[in-house]
Amino acid sequence: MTGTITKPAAIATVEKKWIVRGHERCSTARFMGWLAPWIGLLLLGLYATYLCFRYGLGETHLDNRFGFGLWIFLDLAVIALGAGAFFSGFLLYILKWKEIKAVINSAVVLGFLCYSGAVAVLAVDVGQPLRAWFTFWHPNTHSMLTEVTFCITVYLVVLTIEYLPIILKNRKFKSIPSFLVFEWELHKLMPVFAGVGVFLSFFHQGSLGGLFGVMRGRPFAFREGFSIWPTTFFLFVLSAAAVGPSFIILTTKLVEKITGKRLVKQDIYRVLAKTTGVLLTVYVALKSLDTLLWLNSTSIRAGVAPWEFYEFRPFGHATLFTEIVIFGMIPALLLLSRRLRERPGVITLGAVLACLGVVFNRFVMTIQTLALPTLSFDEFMIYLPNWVEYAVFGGVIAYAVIVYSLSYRYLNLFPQEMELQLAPKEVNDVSVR
Amino acid sequence: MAITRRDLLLFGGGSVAALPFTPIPYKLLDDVSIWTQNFPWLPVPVPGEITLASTTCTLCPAGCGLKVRRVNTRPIGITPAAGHPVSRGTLCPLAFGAHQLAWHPLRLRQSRMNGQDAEPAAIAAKVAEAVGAGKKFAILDERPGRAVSSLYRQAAAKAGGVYLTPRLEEEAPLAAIRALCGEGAPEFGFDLEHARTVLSFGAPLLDGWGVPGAMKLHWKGRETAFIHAGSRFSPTAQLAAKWLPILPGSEAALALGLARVLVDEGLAAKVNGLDHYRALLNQMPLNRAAEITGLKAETIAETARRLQAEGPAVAVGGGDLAGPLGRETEAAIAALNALLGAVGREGGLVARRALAADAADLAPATPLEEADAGSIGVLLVEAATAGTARPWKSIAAKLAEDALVVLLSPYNSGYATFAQAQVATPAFLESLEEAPTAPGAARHSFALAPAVLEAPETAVAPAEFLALVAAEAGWAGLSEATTESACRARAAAIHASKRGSVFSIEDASETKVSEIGSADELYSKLAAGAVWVDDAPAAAAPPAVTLPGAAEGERQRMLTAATAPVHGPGGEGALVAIPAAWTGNTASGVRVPLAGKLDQESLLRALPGEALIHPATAQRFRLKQGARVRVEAPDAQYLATVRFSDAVMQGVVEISPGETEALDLFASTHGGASRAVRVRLGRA
Amino acid sequence: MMANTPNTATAAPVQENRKIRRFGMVINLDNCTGCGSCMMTCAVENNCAPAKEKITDRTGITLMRVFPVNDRQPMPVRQAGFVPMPCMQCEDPPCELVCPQQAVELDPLSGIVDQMPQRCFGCRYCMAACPYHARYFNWYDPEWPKGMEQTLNPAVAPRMRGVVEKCDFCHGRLHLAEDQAAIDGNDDYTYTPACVEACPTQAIVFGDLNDEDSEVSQLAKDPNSFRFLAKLGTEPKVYYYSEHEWRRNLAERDMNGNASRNEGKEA
Repeated sequence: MTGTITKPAAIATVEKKWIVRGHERCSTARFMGWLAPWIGLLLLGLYATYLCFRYGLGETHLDNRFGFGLWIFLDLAVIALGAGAFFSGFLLYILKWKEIKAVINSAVVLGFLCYSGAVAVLAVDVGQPLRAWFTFWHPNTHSMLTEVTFCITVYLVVLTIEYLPIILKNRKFKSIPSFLVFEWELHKLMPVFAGVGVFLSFFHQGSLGGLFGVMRGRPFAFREGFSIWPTTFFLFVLSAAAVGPSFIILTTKLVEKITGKRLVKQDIYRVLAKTTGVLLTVYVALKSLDTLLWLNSTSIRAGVAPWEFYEFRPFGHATLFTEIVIFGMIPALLLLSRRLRERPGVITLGAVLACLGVVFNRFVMTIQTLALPTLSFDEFMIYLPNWVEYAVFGGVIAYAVIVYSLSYRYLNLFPQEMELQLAPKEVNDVSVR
Repeated sequence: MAITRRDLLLFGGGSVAALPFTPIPYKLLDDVSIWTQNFPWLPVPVPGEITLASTTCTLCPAGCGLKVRRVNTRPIGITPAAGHPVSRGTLCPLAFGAHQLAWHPLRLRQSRMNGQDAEPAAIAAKVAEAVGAGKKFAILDERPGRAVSSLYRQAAAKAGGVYLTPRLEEEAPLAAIRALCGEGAPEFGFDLEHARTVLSFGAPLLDGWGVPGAMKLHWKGRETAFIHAGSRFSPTAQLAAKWLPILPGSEAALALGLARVLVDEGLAAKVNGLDHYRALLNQMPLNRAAEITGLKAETIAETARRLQAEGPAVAVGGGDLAGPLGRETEAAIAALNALLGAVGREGGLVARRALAADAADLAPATPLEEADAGSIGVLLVEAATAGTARPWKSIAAKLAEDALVVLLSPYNSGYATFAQAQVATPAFLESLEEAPTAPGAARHSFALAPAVLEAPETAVAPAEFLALVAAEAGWAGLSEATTESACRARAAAIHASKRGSVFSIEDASETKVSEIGSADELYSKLAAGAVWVDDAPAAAAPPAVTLPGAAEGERQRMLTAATAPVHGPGGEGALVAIPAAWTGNTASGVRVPLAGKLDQESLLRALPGEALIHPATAQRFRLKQGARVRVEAPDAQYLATVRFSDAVMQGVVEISPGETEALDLFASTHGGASRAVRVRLGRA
Repeated sequence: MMANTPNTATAAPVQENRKIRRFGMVINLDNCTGCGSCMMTCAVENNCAPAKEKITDRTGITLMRVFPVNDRQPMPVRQAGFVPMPCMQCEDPPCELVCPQQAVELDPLSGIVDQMPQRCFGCRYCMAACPYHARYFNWYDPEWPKGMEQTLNPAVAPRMRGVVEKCDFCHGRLHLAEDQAAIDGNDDYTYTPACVEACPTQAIVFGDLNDEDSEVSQLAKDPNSFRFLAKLGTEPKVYYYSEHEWRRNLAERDMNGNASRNEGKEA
């Protein structure tokens, strides 16, 4: 009897030694309980992945018309939200906004998870993942996807390098002197990497937009632009930059909610919210301008009457209204107003709407583009993903949650956590777990 | 020297760091991607020189000429035979994939009896034993008119049994015309090539009638007007110059309505029996005809006038490959042709030159539906791989209790579930086959289809099996017979007639039969892939035609068929079902393996097992797209999947039969079959 | 598409002494009866496998596909017909532009848009970019019933799962013609794709659009000839011909509000 008790207890004792000194974390058992369902979801995702690799992508509901489906849409959304990492880096290292330091570690981890998760889904989504490297060997320099592939690959390496020092600062790793030296050297180089990351990000976020904007054969997506870049290139950069901070707000608040701790000071939220507010305002203005140009000129020249895009349910005019007004103008106004920003609830609402906006935009660009008919005798088509597609993506979400949970438990994601924990004023906010 | 943990770590770390500078990862990546390009489970076609072998398609009765592209002995594709006098360089979609039929997953590689592998000789002995025990012997020949068919007729005569033939839709209206001409009337064929106006009663003239595209080719550069009367918006209806969307089953009413206009307006040709036919027409005023057909009275009148004014005109009958029009309707169409003066006229119905008379020892061909119910004790069925299938019910009705059914087919499909024994025969292209005159053709023809593939050793040709039965039963003269000997006899008869000419597919050359030295020479020409075509019909005075309905009872039957066109009880919740089939989709054989390109993969045609229904009708029955429904006809039921189509008439459900089972719906109890039947839809 | 052999047609540099062709088609829609012979022979010529049970009209592989079309008038005055759609072999192919790894190439010698399945990694971007839906993805490995692999055409390699394929005007036949021309030392060759050969009503005319005297060039210039979605500027080399206005009107979407509004099918 005693043996069975001491064993987990011993594990718990060892496990506790990895937690950052001074951080209060829940019990080992409780932590395991939290991870268990996510591990289950991860396993399900792995099984669905196996089905796709073993039998082929016919196991999904993707088809010849919807070559892009749930996976590509969510990949685009996740990469846009993951922009929080590059944009925080940009604010901290290039614009020297010191407040961002409070969330930069968390942002880097989130960025890494978003990008690595997206790449993992892509590996299932493409028909021949083992040939993915052909893009590097026989690149078509005219293809937006080539640009995306190059940038995402390199940026993922950059994110890994940015993630590394955070890991190396773990209490246990720190005890190895060479790790400490390595970490210090990396840390000194971090602004360089952040700079590279920002550059790469600007490009691939844009290229992801360009992906759709250059599709001359799809009048719904096609946009004219400057030089080789269609307007969607710039809109995607801007929208990703705008919602990145909001995603950091939301994730941080979510972690606070789940752990029941205060992790960053309120003013950080306000700074991030204001950033989203300003950028989103610019984005909505440009997006509206672009929409007007597209509906009244580009699409007409391609032979499609502007009203026709919104003739097919469920993509009615409400789609456009939702995207630009509900998910664009409203959060922009909410977050732009200093008075409203004082209220944490408004910040949350604004951030939620802003994030939904970018997700919705990516959905429309991916799914509505393909659902709409092109030929005069085409049918409007609807596609509903099947469980395999949901499971694979669920697996990636599970992976992200697990890695983030581990990072939160053992690494110092929020440098202000300790300070806020010790602050006597806010004792009431900290529930002891 | 002691190795420390640090050394190991350094070694490991160093190795990892150095790996990208070695060829290992790149070689690995390359090999892996090459593997994906040559998955070992993907077949690699073996190259070789491509040669062409000439032969004839024997899958349906049309008898198109074709060339098989081969690499060594392997068939890799099918090409039409340019200049072929029957198929005119065309083929239907199924022919293009027909070289793969030998490897169909349902291929029967071993003869079977009572669910066990059996030697064909054992099956033959069983048949002979049953015949010896006094059971009535019958052969159902799904491809009548061949030289081999004469062996069947011989066997039926020797066994004191019957030789049964199925109805060929294209021939049925011609038989009705022949019936109007009295004793000694010639066989007729349609001369659609020279017609100026063609009216079709449901006949799929532009998509499945005879040789594909034939009408388009015939009518190229001519001012032929094609009017199609039918209930389905079929490709033929879509491409017709005019489509008359008549309600299901109302063909007879339309024929009578048209006849009424011709007679009333004095536009009818001179024919016998106009007085008694008028008595029938008097009961079909134009308004009545309009009501039954769902057309405007004016449309019917205009059509009648047009047929008369823009002659020569001809009416063609025949269902969309699934179910006959019925005797009375055929008689009404025949009468319409007579009134249009189409009988015996160029551009109408022309008399074929007669073939040599049958030998005396042959059993006559009995239409299946005329066989006595419950009479047959032993039935041999030679199943056609493609073409039109018959509902099993129509065969089963003729069988005695514990009848022995033997199916001769290369496939384990169709009637196989009802047969006690299956004889595995060679598949298409695997043995010498023949293509006799195509139904409805104006001239006789005869083509041989030499084997271009090797048949499995276990396969037994139908004639060989018949010889085995003959040997067991002691039928003299039949035990030595082969397909070849029967074909040689046919060739000799053609040679003796000195008529027509032979077209060789291989070099596209034509030789007059009169210039061919011997019957053997003619045979070897045919056996190398050639077709004999008879001379054009001789100009002769039109035969005397008497309109049907001389007897009161006959008139009554015709009127009933015209006024109550749909079989089955009506009432609320009833729909009218009509079959929506296409050549090759309803057969007792199998579909060409790639046929799914035409329905499953493209929905160009209705999928087998679908029930097409108008969205408004579906709403009335609260049916959703894709729902499974039970289609309940008075005598049968069938499970189908609902698909919406706003081209379907309201209140009508079009059944796309994939299996012969679906055709049971249309096998009603009155006179064999019906094209339109009342059904109810229930949830499956 | 032969396994492991480089695509000689596309790898060959344009030599000055070689004739430059622009193979194209004119399809007479008035002659098409929708029989599907072109689709069947195409599948045979290009070694497409019989579809698995799970495959639908949205996941099938029909490099040539015949679409039923109509003038969208109510029944029974509706006019209907068929449009056979191979790859349009655009002069400015949107698919070539987007392929990240040059698996799509416009062959300068023949004007044919070549697809290299061995190079393709199956991202399906080209499918999204093609407005003609002429590209098909291999959702599964091809599978033939036992023994049927004997019937495969040796001029064309079967494709593996996870790659995109499309009509390439029967490049297997083109290569045979090219090889023969090389042997004969005569550059003046042409050939016939399978669908052209198969069409029972001779609705498809094929040839070199660069040759002013060819039937196809003449027909392409006919006022009754048109190309689908010409406004997109992809410059297709497949033309269509019809003497009926409603068929010619299918070329572009109706800008007057009568375009398709049919409800979407469930996936």
